[in-house]
Order: sequence, then C-alpha cells, then structure tokens
Amino acid sequence: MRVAVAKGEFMNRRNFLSGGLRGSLLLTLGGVLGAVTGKAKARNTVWQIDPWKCTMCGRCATECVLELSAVKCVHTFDMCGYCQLCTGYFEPDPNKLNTAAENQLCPTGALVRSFIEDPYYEYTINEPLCVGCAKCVKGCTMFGNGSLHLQIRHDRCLNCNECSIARACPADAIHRMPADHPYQFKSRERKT
Amino acid sequence: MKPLIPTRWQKIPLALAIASVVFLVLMGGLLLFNQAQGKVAGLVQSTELVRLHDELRQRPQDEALKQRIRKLDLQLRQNSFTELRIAHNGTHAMIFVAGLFLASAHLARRQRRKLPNPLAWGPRQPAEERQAMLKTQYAVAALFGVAAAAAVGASLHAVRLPAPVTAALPVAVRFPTAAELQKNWPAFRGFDGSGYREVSAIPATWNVQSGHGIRWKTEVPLPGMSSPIRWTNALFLTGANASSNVVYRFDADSGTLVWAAALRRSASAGPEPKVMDDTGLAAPTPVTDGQRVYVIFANADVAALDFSGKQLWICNLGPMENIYGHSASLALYQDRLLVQLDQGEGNSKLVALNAGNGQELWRVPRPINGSWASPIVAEVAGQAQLITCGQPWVISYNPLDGTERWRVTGLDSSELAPSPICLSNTVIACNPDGNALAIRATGSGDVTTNQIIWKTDSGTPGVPSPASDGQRLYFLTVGGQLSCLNPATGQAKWTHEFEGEYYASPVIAGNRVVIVTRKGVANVVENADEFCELGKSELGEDCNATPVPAPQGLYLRGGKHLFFLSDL
Repeated sequence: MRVAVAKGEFMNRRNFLSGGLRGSLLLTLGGVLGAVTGKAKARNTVWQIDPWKCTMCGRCATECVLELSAVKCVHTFDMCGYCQLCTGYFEPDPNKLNTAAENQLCPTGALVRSFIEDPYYEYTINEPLCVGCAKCVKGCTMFGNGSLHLQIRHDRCLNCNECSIARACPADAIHRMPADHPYQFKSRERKT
Repeated sequence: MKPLIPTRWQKIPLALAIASVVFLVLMGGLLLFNQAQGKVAGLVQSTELVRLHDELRQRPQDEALKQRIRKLDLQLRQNSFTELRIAHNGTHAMIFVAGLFLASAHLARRQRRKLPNPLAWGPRQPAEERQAMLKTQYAVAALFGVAAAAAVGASLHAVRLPAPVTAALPVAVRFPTAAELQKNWPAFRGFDGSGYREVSAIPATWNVQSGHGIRWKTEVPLPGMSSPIRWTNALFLTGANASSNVVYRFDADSGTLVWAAALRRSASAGPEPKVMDDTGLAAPTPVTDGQRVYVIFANADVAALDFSGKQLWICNLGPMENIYGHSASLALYQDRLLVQLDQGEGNSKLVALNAGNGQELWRVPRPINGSWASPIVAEVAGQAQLITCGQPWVISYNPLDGTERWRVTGLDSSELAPSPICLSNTVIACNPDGNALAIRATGSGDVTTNQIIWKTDSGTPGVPSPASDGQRLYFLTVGGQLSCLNPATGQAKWTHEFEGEYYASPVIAGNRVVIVTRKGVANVVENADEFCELGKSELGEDCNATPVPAPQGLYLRGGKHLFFLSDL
C-alpha cells in the first residue's frame, strides 16, 4: 500500500515502519530521561523522632530553638490499655489515684485523664500545654505498653537545616523523613 | 527653606529613636536572661519537687506536704509559662520597636542633615562625573553578577549536614570463641552457668592464720554479694555503697588492685532503691566478652567498661521495685547484653541491650512475679536459648529477638532464687521448698505436660543454684543438705548434712566440690558417686559469693577480702 503524504511523495510500508520505530525509540528515550531526572531530584524531607530509638532523656523539651519545643507527646490509642493506674499519668507509687498535683507525672498537667467506665480511663493530651519533656512517655514505656511517645509536630517545627535537638539526642533517634510521610507513629506490631 | 535648628516637634523623632534603643537593650537583656534560665528547664527538672515527692512516699498522710507540693507545682508552672509569654511577646515587641527605631532615626537624621558644601567637592568636569557614575554602576552590576553566580553554584551542590553528636561507640566486631569462654570464667557460675571447671588445682584445706593454701589475699574496698569473674589475668568484681557503684579489676596472679572505676551515674537514674542487707547494692555478678566488662547495680544502672577501666556507656533500666533488691546477674549472647528484671507482677521484663553502645534492642514483658534467679544462655540442638526462671514459669527465649521458644509452669515458690542449668538438651530448674524439674528443651509453646523428664523433691535448693559436670548433679539447700543426683533420672546417689547456712552456690573443680557457709566455713568433698569429705577450713569472714575455680586454684570473695586459694 502507498499513502500520499504530499504532492508528488508517497510513504511505503518500509518508511512507515522505520519512522514509527524511530519515533518510539525517541519517546522511550525521553521517558527514561524524564524518569531519571525525576528520581534524581531531591525529595523534600523533614525531621522526625524514631519512637523505637527514643530513650526519653527529656532533652527535646530544652534543646529546641523554639520557645516551646516543637516536640510533643502523641498517643496511639489502639495500643493503650486505658489503665486505671496509668504509669504515664501517675507518679511511681502514687499517693492516691486522683488528679492532685502530687500524684501527676506531667509537670504541666498536659495529660488529661477522663473516666470511661469502671475500671477504664482515657488519656488525652492537651497539646498547648505539652512541653515534650517525655516524663509520661518514660512511665508508659517502662511499665506500660508504650502507647505514649514523642513526635516532632510539623505545624511548629521550623525544619532547621541542622536540628539542635538532633545534635543533642544521645540515641541518634532524630532523622530525616520524606515530607509526604512526616510522622512515625508507634503501632502494635513490634519492631526489633 | 527649612530652618537648620529643629523645633520642639522636630525633636520627637530623635527622642523616639533614643527611647527605642533603650527599650531594645533592656528587652534584649531580659530575653537573654530568660534564655539562660533554660526555658522550661526549671519546670521539668525541679529537684525540689522530686525531693518533696520522695518525702511524700515516706509520709503519705502528710496533708501539709501535699499542699506544699501543689503550691510549688503551681508556682513552677506559672513561672515557666510567664517566661514563655515574655519571650513570645518580647520578641514581637522588639521587632516592632526596631522598625520604629529605624524610621525615627531616619527622620531625625534627615532633620539634622547639614547643607552640602560645594567647595568640598573640588573642581570637577561633567564628563568626569559621568565616567565615575558609569564605573560605579559597572562595579555594582559585577558585584551582583558574582553574588548570583555564587548562589547558583551553591544551590547545585547538596548541603551535607555535620554528623550528629551521639553516644554511640564502635560495636564489638569479634565475639569470643567457645574455647576462650571455656578457658575463662566470664559470667556467674562460668560461661554456661553450670558451676563446673574440668581442671582445677584447688586445695582440700587452707589456713588463713598460717597462710597455708593462701596464695594471696587482697582487701576489697566496698561490700557486695557479687561473685568474681575472670578473663586471662583480669579478675573483675563489683562493690557499692549508698553514694557510689564501683567496678574493680584485680590481677589474677598477684591479687594487686589494678584499677577501681566509680561509675558516673546514669542521667535517668532514680533515687537509690531500698534493699535488704542480705542482698545489698552490688549482688549481680558482672559478665565479660573479653573486650569489655558489663555490670548492673541495685539502682538499675547498667554499664560497660573496657579492660582499662574506661566507662564506655551507661543507662538506667529502673526504677527497681524488687522487694529484696535486684540480684539477677547479666547474661551475654554475641553482641546482646541480656538483663532479666523481674520486679513484681506486671513489672517484670527481659531487656536486650546492644553491648557496643547500650542502646535497647528489644524488650519483652514477663508474666512473672519477682524473682532473684539469673538467666543462662545455652546452645540446644544448634539453637541459642535464653533460659529464665521466675514464679511460676521456666521460659526459654530466642536471645536474638526475644521471641519465646517454650515454657513450663510449676515454679510455685514466691521467693525463687536458684538459677537454672542446662545439660546437653535438659534444663534443670529448682522450685525452693518444692520440686526440681528436668525439662527437655527441644519443644515449643507450653510444654508442661509433655517435656518434663523427671521431678524430685529431694533436697531442692532454696537460694544456691545447682551445679553439674554432666555426670553428677549437686543440690545444696540453705540448711546445708548437699545431694548428689543422677542428672538423667533425678535419683539421689548420696546425701550429706553439713552445718551452717548457705547462700553461695556449690562449684565443681575437677574431682572436687566446694561449698561455703555464710560464715565462711568451707567444705571440700570429692566429686564422686560415694560421699567423701576431703577437708574443712575457715575463711575468717563472711561469704555469700559463689567461688570461682581456676586452673591454678580457687578465687573466693569474703565479706572484706578477695582470696586466691592454691596449693601450687
């Protein structure tokens, strides 16, 4: 078959196939180049705490460049035991199981204890009060199931080029994460 | 034309500029002072509050003390949040006032501007002025160009962050071989926890007064119930009092104290726990891999030191709530330091730390009431097992990741102190005042009903751990009944009653078995199928630590001294 492409010119099957092949090769090359360029482009990253490495040293509260640290406590409710005697909420060997200051671990009263049904209580975090001192996290991790843990909050974090908390962290628990997955929450699946 | 002398209204910008500078200096000083106070440090690190909480635990009914805590708590919160508000509002005020200063200073400067003096310029031609202007423009353009090129160049290179400062130290790359472990005595009751050394020249008798059988005797500065461990010529011990935890290295040949390293306390260590005098603050025995020595004390400080006494890392696994005080010794498998922390129901756990840097690798809760037994690591059918005892379970774990291999119930005693031993594929666990169990260690899951080989209630130990050379199994009760059993069947070969109270475990040194009372009276008997007493000697001081047999003799820790007993 011959196809008229212009006045006085015809494209035969051989030219059509070779032209099509060249076009396909060029398209493939362009696609590969585009993909490589896309991959080579640096991904945006942000700082985050690995809760499995965190040793709850308390430096997040004092080392952040912000007046009130960008690190705050978060709570994974599906790990929580809703305990009456929450070791993240109460001082060790508490005087009474009530909300008096002498019984609470949290220095700012940021952990809120609400009765659900006997003998279960829910523990939520009053975020504006939380200073990221990790006292509750330590209590919960040492003697409970570790549902309370620290995370860098990206509505507060300045994403400094050199995070001052990361420099001070003795466990090397603060690392860069992709900005599209900026949090690293604990879950029931244990990580070794 | 504007007047050169400013009017009263025209002095306002200057006054504003001066006032702004004063405000900026004062507010800047206040913010710097605030910063030096450490933001919320006063709130979260208040030692006074911790002290008052401790007092409250002593006097739980003291209402006045509760009021003091509440008052101090409120005061600390108010102070900290006021400081934060000052910092926040002060920063904004400084930005505003800095703008005000720039504007008012600019106005003030304009009003105080002097009239130009054309004579100061000198004679200049218009063409020369144009040329100077052009040069200035080129210079500015070139400067911008260089800056732009530098910015583009910098943006093409990735910024490399400096390595963060961490406490991590090089991880051990070489693990000791089985031959090295057998040659030395790296842990409580030896490398496998059996309390057996094949060849040892220990004396049958000795005399502290005359020096017969005593190669050397060295004073140990601080008390402790922990036993010595030995690696080539290094002998390690721990001791503690209320103010310090100390690790000692002695020369195994001469008894010289090579170094004493007082641990720098872990930052997260809590107050010193209350312990019984019978346990003390340094009951757990250290463990070594030939490169470092690892220790744990009653306050849950776990640390690693190198052989020169340098503290490599320390961490705290407390608070400890064990009613008698912590006594379980450490175990080591490859690069995992294994810590058994049975502190009471709901508070018992097993923790594995990276031996290189002290970071936690895994932690598993244990369904155990408090126990005082030490864990052992044994190789069973090619698999490493971490075997633990605590009321009511004997549980075997995989030391690499903490997963459970098997468990057996039957340890009913609430005061479980004897550690298990493993002979080939059989684990022997003792239930004080009850049965001793021999368990086939090859099952999985709960094997209570199908892997018990034998049980016996004959002379089951209460505090001392059993010892075995594989041919004979020795039980020693606190009251002094020494039993020799067939480890395959649990049948007693012989039994003998000694006088005295025994906490130290028996050890087998070649063809001799050594037992020592709490008052330091030692009996040496023959390791044989018939009872034969070889000698009886007195140490002259208390003894609660398990002896350590060595090729040349026997190391023994008394209440005040470390002894090396040898006939050679």
